[in-house]
Amino acid sequence: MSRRGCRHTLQKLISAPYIVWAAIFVVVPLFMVIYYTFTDKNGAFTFENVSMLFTQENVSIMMISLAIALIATVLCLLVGYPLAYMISKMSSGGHTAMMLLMMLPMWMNFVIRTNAIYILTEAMGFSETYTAAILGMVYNFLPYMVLPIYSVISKLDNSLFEAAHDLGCTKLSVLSKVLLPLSMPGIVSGITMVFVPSVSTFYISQKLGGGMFATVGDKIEGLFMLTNNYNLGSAFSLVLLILIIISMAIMNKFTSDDDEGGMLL
Amino acid sequence: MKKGVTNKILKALYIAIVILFLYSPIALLIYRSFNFDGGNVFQAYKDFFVNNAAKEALKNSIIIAVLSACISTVIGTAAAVGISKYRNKKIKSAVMMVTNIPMTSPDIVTAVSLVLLFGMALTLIGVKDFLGFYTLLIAHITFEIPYVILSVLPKIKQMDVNLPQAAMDLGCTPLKAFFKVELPVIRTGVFTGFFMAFTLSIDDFVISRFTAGSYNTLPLFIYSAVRKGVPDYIYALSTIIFIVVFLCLIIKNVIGEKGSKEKKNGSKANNAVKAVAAILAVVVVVGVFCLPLFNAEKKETLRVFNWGEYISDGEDDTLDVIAQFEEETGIDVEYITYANNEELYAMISNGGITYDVIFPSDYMFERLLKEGYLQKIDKTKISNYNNISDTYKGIFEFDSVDDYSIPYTVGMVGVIYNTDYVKEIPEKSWDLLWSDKYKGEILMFDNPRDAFAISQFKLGLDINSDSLEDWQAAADELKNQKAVLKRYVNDEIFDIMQDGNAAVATYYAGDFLTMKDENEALEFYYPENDDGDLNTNQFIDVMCITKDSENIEQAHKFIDFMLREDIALANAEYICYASPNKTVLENPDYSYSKENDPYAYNILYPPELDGTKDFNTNLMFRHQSEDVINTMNFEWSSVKAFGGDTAALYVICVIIIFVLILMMAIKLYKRKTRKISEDYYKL
Repeated sequence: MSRRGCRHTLQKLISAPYIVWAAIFVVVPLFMVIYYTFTDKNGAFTFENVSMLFTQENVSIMMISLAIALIATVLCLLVGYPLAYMISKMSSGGHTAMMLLMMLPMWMNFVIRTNAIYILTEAMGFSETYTAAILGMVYNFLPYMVLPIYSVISKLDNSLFEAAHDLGCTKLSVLSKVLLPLSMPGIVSGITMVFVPSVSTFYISQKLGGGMFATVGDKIEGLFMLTNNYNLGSAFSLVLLILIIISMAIMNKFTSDDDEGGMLL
Repeated sequence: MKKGVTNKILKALYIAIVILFLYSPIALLIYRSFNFDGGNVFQAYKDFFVNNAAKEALKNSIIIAVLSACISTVIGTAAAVGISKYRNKKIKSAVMMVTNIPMTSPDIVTAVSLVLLFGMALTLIGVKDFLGFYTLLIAHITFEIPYVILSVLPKIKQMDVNLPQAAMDLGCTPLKAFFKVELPVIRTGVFTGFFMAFTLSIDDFVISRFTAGSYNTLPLFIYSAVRKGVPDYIYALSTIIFIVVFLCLIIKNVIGEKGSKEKKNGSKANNAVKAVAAILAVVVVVGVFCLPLFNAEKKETLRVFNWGEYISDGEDDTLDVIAQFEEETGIDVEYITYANNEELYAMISNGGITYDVIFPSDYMFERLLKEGYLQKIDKTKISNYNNISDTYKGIFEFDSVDDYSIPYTVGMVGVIYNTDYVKEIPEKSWDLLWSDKYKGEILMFDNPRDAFAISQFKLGLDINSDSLEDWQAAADELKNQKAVLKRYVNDEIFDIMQDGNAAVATYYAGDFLTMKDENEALEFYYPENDDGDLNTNQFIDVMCITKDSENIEQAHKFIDFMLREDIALANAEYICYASPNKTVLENPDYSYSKENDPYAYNILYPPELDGTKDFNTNLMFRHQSEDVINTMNFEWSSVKAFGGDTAALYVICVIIIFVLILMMAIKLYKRKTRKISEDYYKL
């Protein structure tokens, strides 16, 4: 018994490098963000950065970022869900090929991709608009929605649908009572993986939006790289984090009750 | 039956549309990588293979990706194995929560928090020059580990927990049990983790932008290379990457299928695992031993921090000034670029990287000097100092003998218009940029200092005013302008104006000439006030040596080199700004001289700049008080957030939220009714 216990501690110990790493480079930096949020340039305690967040401009920046990200996420879901479903119903060669086609654009450099989209939006006459920025987000993040949903749906047992059908379900009710609830974990992680980068991106909104509106990502980048205001920049980062934790909690409410749920990614 | 067919066609159509959507930008990239205007079709590919900076960036990216993926795979796999043994649920969920943080928090937050940590920790122990290879490596490992853990953990869960126990009871050491029993079972997870880490690292832009310092990876290189529009060799590079990845994925899939057939052959798989583990170990060890080499290399380099495309770089058969300097002196130059003065200031004042030679504009030079970031230039070491024209010697009242600055380029801001849109010759004023007639076709500076100055010139205010009301008024004028703008631009202006996609813009005179080379329809003027006097910004960009520089000898050599006749000429030709170096104008080969190109000469060297009229220092930006800078930045962000048609955006969001709430309500209602009926059945 004691030998086994000893072995166990030994085995647990090999996670120690990671624990140390995560403590130093994940946990401590988060506290640094909090520290900077509540101090000024000289390190004195202040609430000024927090109150700065609630100026009219900054509130509108946050609202616009949220709105754009929300719309982009919903579009990704509407486009991506049927696609993921269709791919999962393909033959094995078919879905390997489709997965390959979905992944391939992700390998093109993000900056170049976004530039190419700018050229297209310019040609189609809606460059420098919210629509252009949303399109850019959908383009860049659509695979993040399709992949998790696909991997959940493809693992579902086909006989489930047949059984539902045999028991008198219409196609619509198979969708709403069987398919959708069972693919919830995939939907939740897809939404997370699209919403988080959408709400925080700065290059897409700068390039495709043309600087005609500002987003939280722009603001943080500017505060760190241009105006040199680490404290307000940290405050914005903290808001972004809190926002994402809140939306995550809401998303979890959607799933966690009846299935095993809680699986974020 | 018929319904099934239409269904199939609809499905195929749907998939085709999505694929078209995903691939049209990529088709565009590939199309643009070939040259169809005559000459060599593969010119762009040739350009890439001679572009040393691009190849260097690619190499750096691969080094970082391989090293960080190896290290994070080792740490991550070990962590997953350890975590799976945790009995205490609370500890386990705490660890998993921490693991989720880098995955769910936005890239920019991860980046920012790491920058804060590096900044505080390393300045505490007195390291000044900390941003670079190591910080980038640490940042990449940090965001990669969770992906490795999450791809290995499920595999461990699938494994029978008693297997390693049994192995150890039978006399295996824990290490042996791990390699012989556990690793073969979880190896697909380990591979997936490794590839994910590698991919994420190669593609990462956001985190690298904040933590890389002077270490140039491919995404960062591309980011600065595409500022003026995407150069063709970047299209060629992306096409190459696309094809290589495409082939790799196909090969992987083919081999993957073969592999799954051979899965039953246990010992073979075991050998493969051992081989891969050995290779991984060797790479990591070699990598770690190589690290000091990168460091040693760093110490002997001169670090030059300049504006993008602000030095002749060898493109299109120009002189590669940096390469020439390295060859002549044997000093290695690390050349890094920035997009504007504020970025330069942020980099200098935050520390993190020590630069040697920098190229600030007038007002930023004043600020850096007053805040003590510069050191004296020893002019006895600058033998070519007398090449500077007398007009520009000691031009700053706060540096009247050029103790801290040597002029590099000079110029003025003017208005560019496209005669395809603007048919009549406009008045020489700033009003054109506010003109309703060209609504949606006007481009404006995307930085506060230049944008405010234009507004102040238009209103007849002092550009260096102390009065906050003046800045307020200028901000209001900028808000008025927003309704007629197409967009705010920095160097994106080149592409947009050259392609004829905007009517009116404002930029530097020299850049106008570059644009005119590509689009003959463009014209230019310098705005004047009602009295007919020049009413626009004049700037001087200077070379300085930073206070923290330790390569003082080399920095002087570099500045002296830049003033040399042939080098100054090459730069003046390439940058196409006016040169304060008199040998340039005297040179019969100078293509923008009065004799060779009078049109260009009149734009680059108006009387105010060529010495016939006095250089009017009132038109130059001065460093402002903290109050003014704060007001300007604050007002600028309110200009950027101003206006815009957000109504549609919010309406759509409200609808979405409403639908979500409705769905939740239905779900809750159903659960309640179900519960009631369940209770009923129990009875």
